Amino acid sequence: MLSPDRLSSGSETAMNSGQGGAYEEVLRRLHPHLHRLSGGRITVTEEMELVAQLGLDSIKVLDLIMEIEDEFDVSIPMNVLADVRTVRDLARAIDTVASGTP
Amino acid sequence: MSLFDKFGTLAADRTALLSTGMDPFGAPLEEVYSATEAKIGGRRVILAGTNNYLGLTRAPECLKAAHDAIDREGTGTTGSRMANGSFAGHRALEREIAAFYECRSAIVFTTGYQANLGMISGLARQGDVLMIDGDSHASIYDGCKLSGADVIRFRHNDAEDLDRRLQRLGDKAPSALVIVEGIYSMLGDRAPLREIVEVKRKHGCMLLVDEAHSMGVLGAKGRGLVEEAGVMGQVDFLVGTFSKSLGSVGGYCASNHPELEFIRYTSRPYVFTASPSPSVIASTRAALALLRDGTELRTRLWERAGELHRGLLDLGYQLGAGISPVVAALVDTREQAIGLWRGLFEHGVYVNLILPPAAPGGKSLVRCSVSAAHTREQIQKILAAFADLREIAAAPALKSHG
Repeated sequence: MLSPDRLSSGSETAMNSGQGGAYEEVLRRLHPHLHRLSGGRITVTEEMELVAQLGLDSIKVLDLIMEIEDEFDVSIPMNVLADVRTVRDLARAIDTVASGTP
Repeated sequence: MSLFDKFGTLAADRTALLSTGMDPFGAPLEEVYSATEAKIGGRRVILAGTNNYLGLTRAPECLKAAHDAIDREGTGTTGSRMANGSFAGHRALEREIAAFYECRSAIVFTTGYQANLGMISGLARQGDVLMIDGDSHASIYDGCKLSGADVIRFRHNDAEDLDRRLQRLGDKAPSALVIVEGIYSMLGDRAPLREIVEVKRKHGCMLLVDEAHSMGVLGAKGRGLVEEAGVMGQVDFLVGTFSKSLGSVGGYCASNHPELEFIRYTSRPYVFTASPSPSVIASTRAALALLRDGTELRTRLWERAGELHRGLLDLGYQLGAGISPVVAALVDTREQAIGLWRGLFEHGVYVNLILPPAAPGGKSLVRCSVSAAHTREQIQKILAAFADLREIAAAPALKSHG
């Protein structure tokens, strides 16, 4: 089991790109979902690819988006997934949608 | 690195399927004897997986209409309606579909797939919002993608979830298009349409219902779930196909909105494809007349569906929904589904093999579709085959990883 601290540790890219608390918060809340969907067997890191490494198929990723929408009470159009490959991509996409104008 | 690298996993899966005989996803129909019987892979089988709900593929009225149209207008239109013009039959069929649904107008597409693709991409564009049921058919997903609009899924058949997601859209909710299906093709379950219409009215948005598997099947006059649920005038766009209960190929949308006419200009899947052949249009029109007056066909269809449903439950099979012309027998693993499909085929019964991710929730199943043309004896034969194969379905889940 992975602690939120470990998930965010070493996220230099996120820090350097000026993403602060909101991004970290997204990552923290995203973690239990990813942990469960990936079968809880592996340590989830920001660099991991959702499909190739976490073993989520396309439908699972879509179902994850649905859960995240409820968790954050935001609308996340399927289209944002076009640019999402890694956990970090996903967290950033959610952060953008959650903080910006839809 | 090659274009073909991506086929690696598929190639392995396919080899595994082929190694046990015929490819379940490419069955060769060597001869077609009737709406319910064919020779496949050298074996005479009962067709119980062809969506031929009313069994009209051999109706004498439809055959004659198709023959006459070929003699009168030739084999094909050789182009799109926009470039080559509309045959009298195209326009007549559109008027007849509109009259059938008591709608202002209708538009005909070349395939059912294109009807969803064409309507969704013709109606929505970047910046619009499409709100679709999570278990929607691929044609709906593909139409959404082609549109470039924002696509949001709601939980399958959950009107409250739809309500919540529309609420989140705020000011944008009234301009959203909600999309659901009458009967869902994999499990045979129906949308809670009355509740969905309520939600749609509350938010002032539009609603498209795909009746591909419910037209001719549900409602006193066969007009689908909209008729059965009593919400005919409250749905903005009624989409469906000619390739199931009407026994030909093609699709349609009927609507009371005069703006439907603009789809003929904005919808690429309508503009950039050849229009349906005269014989296809002619047999569809003849079938529509039979479907409209087809109370007896529907009664028989539901009798047979009930017989198969109850028989399978008695045998201990787990089914995807209540009584429905789509009967899905669920199993735990891929291997069981493949084994069951193959066993049924060897017993002379052709059904559909459904493997993940085609069915919701990663389910594996064999899918039967019942026809009004099935006899009681055929249903009994299908059940006898399922009875012989109970062990495969009940096998203690030899679960594959994942």
